[in-house]
Amino acid sequence: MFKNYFKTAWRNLLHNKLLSFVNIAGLGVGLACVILILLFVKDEWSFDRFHKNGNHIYRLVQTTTDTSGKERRNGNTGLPHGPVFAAEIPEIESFCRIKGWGMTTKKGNEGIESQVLFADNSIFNIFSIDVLKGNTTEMLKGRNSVVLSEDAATKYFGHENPMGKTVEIEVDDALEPFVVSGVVKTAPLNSSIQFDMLIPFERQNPTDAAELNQRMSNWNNLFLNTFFLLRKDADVKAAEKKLWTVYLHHNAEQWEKVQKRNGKIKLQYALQPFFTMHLDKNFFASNGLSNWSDSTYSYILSGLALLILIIACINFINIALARSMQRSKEIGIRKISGSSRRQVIIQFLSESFIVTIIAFATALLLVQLVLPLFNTISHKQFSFSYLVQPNTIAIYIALIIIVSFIAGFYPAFIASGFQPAQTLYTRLKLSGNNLLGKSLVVLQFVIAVALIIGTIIFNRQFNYISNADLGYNSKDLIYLQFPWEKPIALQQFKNELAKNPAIQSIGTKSGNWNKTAFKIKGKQTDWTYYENIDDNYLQVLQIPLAKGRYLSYANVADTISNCMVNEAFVETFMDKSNSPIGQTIGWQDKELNIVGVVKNYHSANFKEKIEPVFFSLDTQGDLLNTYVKYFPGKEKAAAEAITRSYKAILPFAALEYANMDDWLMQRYEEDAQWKKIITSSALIAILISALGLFALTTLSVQQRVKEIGVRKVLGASVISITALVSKDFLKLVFISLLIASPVAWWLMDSWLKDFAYRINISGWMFVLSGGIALLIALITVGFHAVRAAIANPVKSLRTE
Amino acid sequence: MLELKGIYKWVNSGNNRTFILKDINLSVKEGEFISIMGPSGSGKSTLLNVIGMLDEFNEGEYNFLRESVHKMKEKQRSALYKQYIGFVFQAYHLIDELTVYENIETPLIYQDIKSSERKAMVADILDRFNIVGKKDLFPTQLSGGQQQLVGIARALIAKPKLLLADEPTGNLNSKQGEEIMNLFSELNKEGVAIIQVTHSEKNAAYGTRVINLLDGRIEN
Repeated sequence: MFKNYFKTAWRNLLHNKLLSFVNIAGLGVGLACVILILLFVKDEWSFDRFHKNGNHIYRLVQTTTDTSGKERRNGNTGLPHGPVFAAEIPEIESFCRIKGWGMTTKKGNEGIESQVLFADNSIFNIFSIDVLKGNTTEMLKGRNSVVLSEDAATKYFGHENPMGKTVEIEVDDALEPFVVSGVVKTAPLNSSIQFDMLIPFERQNPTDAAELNQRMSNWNNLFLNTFFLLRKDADVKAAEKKLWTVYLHHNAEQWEKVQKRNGKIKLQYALQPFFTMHLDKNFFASNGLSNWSDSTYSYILSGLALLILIIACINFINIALARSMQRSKEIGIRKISGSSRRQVIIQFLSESFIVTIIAFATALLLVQLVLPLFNTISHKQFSFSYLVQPNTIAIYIALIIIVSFIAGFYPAFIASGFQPAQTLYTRLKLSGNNLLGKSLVVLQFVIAVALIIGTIIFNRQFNYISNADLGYNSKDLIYLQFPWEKPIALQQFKNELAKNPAIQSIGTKSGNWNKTAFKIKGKQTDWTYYENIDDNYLQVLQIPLAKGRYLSYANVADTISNCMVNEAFVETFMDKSNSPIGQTIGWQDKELNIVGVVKNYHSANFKEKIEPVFFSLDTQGDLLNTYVKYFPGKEKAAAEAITRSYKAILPFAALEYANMDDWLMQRYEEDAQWKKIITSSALIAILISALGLFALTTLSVQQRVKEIGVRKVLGASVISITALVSKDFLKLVFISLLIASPVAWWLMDSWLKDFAYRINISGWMFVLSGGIALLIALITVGFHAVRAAIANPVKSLRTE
Repeated sequence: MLELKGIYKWVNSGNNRTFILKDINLSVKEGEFISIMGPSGSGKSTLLNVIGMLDEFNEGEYNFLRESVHKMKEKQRSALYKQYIGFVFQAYHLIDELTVYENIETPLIYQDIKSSERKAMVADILDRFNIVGKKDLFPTQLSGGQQQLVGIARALIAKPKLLLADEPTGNLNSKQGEEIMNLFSELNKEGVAIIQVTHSEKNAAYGTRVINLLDGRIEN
């Protein structure tokens, strides 16, 4: 029986090539989106799951609340937390501290950057790391041993046995030899803990016992990740509560002081389940942890993929519904030949099953084609083998069955209900007031139009933030980060570059996003940005003065007792009845005089309001952020000069520099990605919807061919017939416009609220989106309408 | 084999009730060949559909092989006509996507007959109707007469006791029509009861009895 069904289905497909194409192309694209997003989501949610102890691993995180009630969440903790908590809380079996970043390592004569982690030896017991060579009890012992990942071992030693050989790693400002004590399997891509090399955690501790003691009692310097392995039977909530008791036990005096200053300040410790870490946007995973992400991506992408699949399914349903009218004769015949209603339903479902399977094969092909592109957008490294894993295939089968059921059931249900006496004597009203079909078209276009509106608004905002006046001049600037703690080399580098004719000037400042608390008129401020700058930084960036003067090394007082602030600082903290110049700010037991105020400028991205910033002249020389202004048109010469001088001074250090504008755009990388995603979703949505509309008009014109013939014979013009055929569909698109606009407005407005600086949503954006949708619909529908209108009526009326 | 008693069928349009069938009393014996005649709109096709259980009626009794059709649910009715009745239409009503062979085979598939058996049965009838050479063609590749032959073959394949034909020769030229009518009398002689609707006196003459219908009423 199924053979018969499949045969009919197959011939139906071939017979109606246009409709089959629309169905298969639409469903294929929809399914391709779903497959890609499925891969993405599956990967995101599979992070770190391979660790066997994973359910019992927790990361220590802390939340502080400042005087204004603002919460600061921190995924990092300090030196004493791990050992102290583990020793005093019985639920904790063991702890592991991990920190690290890209460090310069030496291979032959070449300096390369490798991901090096400082880690306690317990890393091998807590986490699932496969050891290929060496004995875990002996690894990460002493100060100069190193464990390589398999990839790093091959990179450095090829096929030679690396055990006992040395690798040079730059720590404490100098390349030092480390002896290889083990090789472990390279972490899988879906791991948060990624490394080329592991070195003992003790390596970062000072050798001096007194100093180590002093650091071990500092609970406020947060720079590493502390992981706990809890006992299998441990009560996590109970353990979490004990954290605070233990903390107080060790910091009673200090905490009392803090509370005396302001009782609103709060501190909380919590245990973050390891498995949720990757997608928890509240606590950043950095300083040795990689690939930190956000579950919102999974949700929004799944939503978009689902919408596109819905649009494709609607095409299928609508075409099948319209076709079922044409196929009513066949259904009638089958029924009088003895087919039951159930059998007709099964027949229709098997047809949608066939279409879905073909669409699915198309989707797999499409996925393979766009996988490289998708990888760059999503920052993943999926290969085709990801697509054919057993559990993925199970999901595919489920997907095929679900889609063919959703797409096929309603038309099957309707068609199977036809009474043969009516269909065979053409008593069935063919046109009908197909409310469901119309609603589905409206739904389709609501989605498509909303996505177009979203695309337009997104692109406007993106253009706005990428072209807006930042308050300083980012033109003709090269930005680079000089390595830490090399003041002499930096000075040499600056002197060397200053001699180059392509280069105008150089400015430097210390790390970004430093915050501290000031004392102003005896009152403590909240955490506020401060910048350690040289006396050229503000000038190089051309940040204009509002009042007073710039700081200068030529004026000795500037390095001791003077400072600058921005306008926001004055606005927030200073006495506005007097000129800010000459007012004082307390910082680190010193009172500093304001000698200059700069205008506000955007140092952060546009999602943040311009915040108060404090500037002081640096005296240590440790200013890693370097800005090189070159003469217009001399970028290449300047870049060459930078590379030459840098390599001459620091032969093994990795150098990365970027044009300032490009570097600034990196802050919007995430938004640029979303821009691509939304734009392509909108394109796909409108394309599939238009395809569906095209097919529907084809069918509608076929059904109305007689009516059109009669009208022509009665003297209707081509234009009036075109209008007759197009009107119904254009009306639907118009209705969807009315529904989509407020929905899109609401969604995009809440997205724009993320930005402190944003565009206004204005009417023309909706008009333009509506125009685009109507135009596309008009072209699609008009094609058939005109063809029907100019057809010779004699042909359509001749036979019955 | 079947008996209609006081069958009424009507449609309501506004306040008016329009009768399509009025007080039809008819009994058909096994092996009869009945022709229903009458002008357009007299209810011929409706009567045929009521007999074929494709159409409902509003009042009256219908007994088919001593079973009360008017008391049956749709499922039982379709099981009944599936087994005993074959239909032939003026517009042939073949499935365009299926070949001649497959069209004829369709009713057997719905009766869950095994593939090998089906093959034999279809081969028999193709042979009998002299259309073996056409078995792999699609309906659109055949002439009207040939299509109607296929239609009749399909109606007969499940060995029905009753053949209902609605103007079987309406779309055919006179020579093709004659062939079909000859085939009908042959079948009738083999014991199949036939009820046909026709406009043509000549075709009606092939039957054993003629029923004249006017405005939904039997005129005799």
